[in-house]
Amino acid sequence: MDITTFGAFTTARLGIYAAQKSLNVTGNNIANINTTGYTRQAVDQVSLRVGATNHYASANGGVTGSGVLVTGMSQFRDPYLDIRYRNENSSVGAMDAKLGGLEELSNILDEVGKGSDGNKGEGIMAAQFQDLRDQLAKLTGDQSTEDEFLTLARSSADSLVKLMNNYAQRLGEVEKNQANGLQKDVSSVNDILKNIQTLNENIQKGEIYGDSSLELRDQRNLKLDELSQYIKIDVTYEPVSVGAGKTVDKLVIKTSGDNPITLVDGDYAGQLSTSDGLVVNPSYASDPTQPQYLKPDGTGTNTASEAQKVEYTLTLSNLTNRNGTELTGTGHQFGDTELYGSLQASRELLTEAGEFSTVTMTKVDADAATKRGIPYYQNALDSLARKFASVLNAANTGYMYNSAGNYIKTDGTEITDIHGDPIHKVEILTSALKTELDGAGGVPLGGVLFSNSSNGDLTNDITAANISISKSWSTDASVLQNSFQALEGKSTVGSSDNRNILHILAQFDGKQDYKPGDMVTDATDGATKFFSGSFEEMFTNIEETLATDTKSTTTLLDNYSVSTTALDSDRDSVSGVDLNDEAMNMMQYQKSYSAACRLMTTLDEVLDKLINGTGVTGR
Amino acid sequence: MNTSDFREYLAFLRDLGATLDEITEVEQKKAEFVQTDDLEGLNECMKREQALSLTMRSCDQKRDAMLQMLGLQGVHLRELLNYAPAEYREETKKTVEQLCRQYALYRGAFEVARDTLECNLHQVEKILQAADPDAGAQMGYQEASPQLPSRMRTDFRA
Repeated sequence: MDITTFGAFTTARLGIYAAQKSLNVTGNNIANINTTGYTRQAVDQVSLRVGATNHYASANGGVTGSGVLVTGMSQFRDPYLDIRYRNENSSVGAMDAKLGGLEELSNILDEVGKGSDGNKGEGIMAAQFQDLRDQLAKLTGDQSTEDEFLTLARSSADSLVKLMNNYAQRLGEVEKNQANGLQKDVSSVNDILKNIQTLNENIQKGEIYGDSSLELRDQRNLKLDELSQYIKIDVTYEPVSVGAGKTVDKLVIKTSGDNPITLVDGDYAGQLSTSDGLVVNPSYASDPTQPQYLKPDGTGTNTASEAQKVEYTLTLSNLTNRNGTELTGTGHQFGDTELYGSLQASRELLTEAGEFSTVTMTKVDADAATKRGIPYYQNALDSLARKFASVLNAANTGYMYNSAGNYIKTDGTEITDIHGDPIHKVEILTSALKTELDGAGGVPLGGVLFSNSSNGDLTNDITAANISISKSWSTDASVLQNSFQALEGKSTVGSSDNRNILHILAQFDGKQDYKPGDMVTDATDGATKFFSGSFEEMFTNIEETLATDTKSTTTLLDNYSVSTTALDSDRDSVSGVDLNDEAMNMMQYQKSYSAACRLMTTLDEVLDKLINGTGVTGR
Repeated sequence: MNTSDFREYLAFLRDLGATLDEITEVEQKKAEFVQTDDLEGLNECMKREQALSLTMRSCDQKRDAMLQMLGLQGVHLRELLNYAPAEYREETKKTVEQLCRQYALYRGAFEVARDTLECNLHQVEKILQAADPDAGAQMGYQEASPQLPSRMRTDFRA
């Protein structure tokens, strides 16, 4: 059946409507040229033909269409570029978060160009070590003002330990900031997940009623971009039947990786939280008779203290819709290496201990020994403080000996062992030897210089945070022992004998071995030294490690940022509004509109002729 | 294990790191040239990349031979520290860590260069498809449904 006589008016009307709609969309595009996340829109139209072939085909032939039909609006988007952009964005997020943390650490530990000696810029800590050496060196010279020099040496040592305390405290603050930052990020991710859930629901409703909800889709795409910075995600759209032969797209977001975990499934979404870190047995959720936790060896246990613990673990709740209906079994506790993006980078800053990683940590992540976060720098600084205290305490603690190097009693006679042989002085006193010398009447000299608190002389568990001048030294500057060797034939030490001060000074140049086991008892490679060098060199090593990590992270961030920016420009070239394109469209649709109006006028004239001017001869 | 052979192996790993640094630089330049549509520069990079790939290949063969000589066939780089003689442990740790870091930087640069190239190829593909009328709709454009809206169709189940 062909179009009816008056049907041509409908053709013209539909033409006007389509051109009008296109002009509206062009106007909307132009108006939104600066709107963040706006995607260029276009009118979808199809050629209309009413009716179908029938038995009584017109003998005249030439079946014509009936005009144009606007079927909806669509957006210009390239899913390929979206996927690429979001992948790169997660790398940018990860590197950016890591670099942020490392820079905070650099503000504390990077002393390049700092220090009291402005010319050398040798660093504050190095300058303080040097100052202590200088003060000790003064004790080896003129002894006339010895008391004053002893006090100066003690003040210098006090400044050094206070500097260590200050660094440790600031590292603690960085840790606290990062932990707060992680909480904030988790809450931002939760907000995004909730927003996406709501948007999904609204878009689906809109689709059911025939509205493409393009503006809501724009909002959702912005949220997806935002989410991709925190977590590496895979986004898919699945068709879902809503009845009456209609299907709508359901958006599903999963974590990217070997074990994808669903974060959002249409109008169901999960929420993240930081948990106690106890590794939960996956079978427990479906079968509560199973053990609740997993031990480091993978076997089950119900005892929390036996369970494997991963610090700052993130847990996803069961996916829930807005009515509170849960999809059971969709919750998940993320493993140590399951996430990627800024959340993971923040976690690693808070948990990775490098060489100080425990056996449990190495089991969870084989690369743990080469990943260094705040715990590594805290342990390294503690290691320096502990070594410094133990070496100097050992150097300043001893018993009087004679010129032959044999320990003597108060009366000057040599102390002998069970075989009657004199006991020769040793570098480091063992507790057994101490007991033996105490029992035999040996003369203890010197004492503890550094302790774990200013209120006592205890030397156990010294860290950078608690290292202090011992109570004995703080009340008596002469605890710093100038020599352990008695004057010839006497049982007193000569005041001008500075053997021990020289020995202490030698400790500053001596190479010390730093082992992870000194700080962390269950460190994977506890007995293997991770550095060997002087105190200053150890601090420089900490700085260098941080600088190297910062440099490589900066390079990676630069690479990923450039790539992300390029991808964003590519996306913009597809989805962004181009004024030239829109101006051309505007002219084109204006002409279409005019032409359709002209068609209407022409049809009117033609039909006027047919109705009023046909067959009127003779009337 | 012969310690001088091990020392030589560590020196070889450092050389390998230097080669990785070179390739990383080439990859970074490659991405830069792709972004600026500098085909000549890209061509030069490809040639350098090919030459360096051959160097890497010979390095790989040399590594296998050296590991065999040391009796460490199948030992991963990460595990090398466990087999290092005591006097070389510190050096081994530093060398291995440095090489791993260089490799991570190379991976980063390589991924960026590959992604940039792939995105550009994707663009080329889109242009070719747009130019070819048989290739169907323009990529990235959500095609209008050829069907009429449901309200204009008869629901035969009714």
